[in-house]
Amino acid sequence: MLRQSFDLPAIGRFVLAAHWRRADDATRQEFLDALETYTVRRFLPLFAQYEGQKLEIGEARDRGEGSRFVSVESRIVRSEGEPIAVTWRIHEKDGAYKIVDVVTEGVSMAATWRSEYKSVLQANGGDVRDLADKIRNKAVQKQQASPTEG
Amino acid sequence: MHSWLREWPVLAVVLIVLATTTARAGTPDPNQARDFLSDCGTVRSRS
Repeated sequence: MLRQSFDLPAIGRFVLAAHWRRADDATRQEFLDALETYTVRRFLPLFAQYEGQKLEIGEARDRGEGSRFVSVESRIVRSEGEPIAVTWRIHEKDGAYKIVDVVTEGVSMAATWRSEYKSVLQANGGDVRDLADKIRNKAVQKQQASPTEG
Repeated sequence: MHSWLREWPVLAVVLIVLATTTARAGTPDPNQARDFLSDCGTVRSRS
C-alpha cells in the first residue's frame, strides 16, 4: 500500500533535476527502484502502529486556487518525548492521490534529498547508478534505525 | 472591421474557460487527501 502511495517518478525528477533529464530510461528506473526501497523503509515505521507511538492525522488544506498540492498536517505521538510534526504534501495523478513530499519538523524530504544527491553526483561525476547503489545501502542501514531520523 | 477583430473576445473567453478547467482538474480535494493518508494505515484523529 505504502509503495503505491508515493509518486516516486515525480519525486525522482525533482531530486535529480538536470541529471534526470540526462539519464536514460534504464538508469532512471534503477534510481527509482532504489528510491522506492529507501522510501518504504524510511516511512513504513511512521504508518505502523508501535507500542507507545501513533500517527495522528490533523487538518488538510490546499494552497490556494489552482494549486496542484494539498498539505495534510499530522503528528507522531510517542509515549516519551514531544510529538513530532509531520506535513504530507499530496497531489492527484491519474485519478489517484499520491504523496510527493514529507515535511518533518519543517524539513522537506524532497529538498533534503535533492541537496544530498546533488553533492553525491557532483563528487562522482554525475553517476546516477552509483547514487542508486548508495541509496540502497542506506536503506539497509535505515531498517535498523529510528523511524523519525532523516 | 476584420472578422478576427470581431471574434477575438469569444476566443479569449474560450481560452480562459479552458485554462480554469485545466487548473481545477489537477487540484486535489483536502478532505479526500486526508482520507487517502488515513487509508495508508494511520490512526485517524482530529487534532
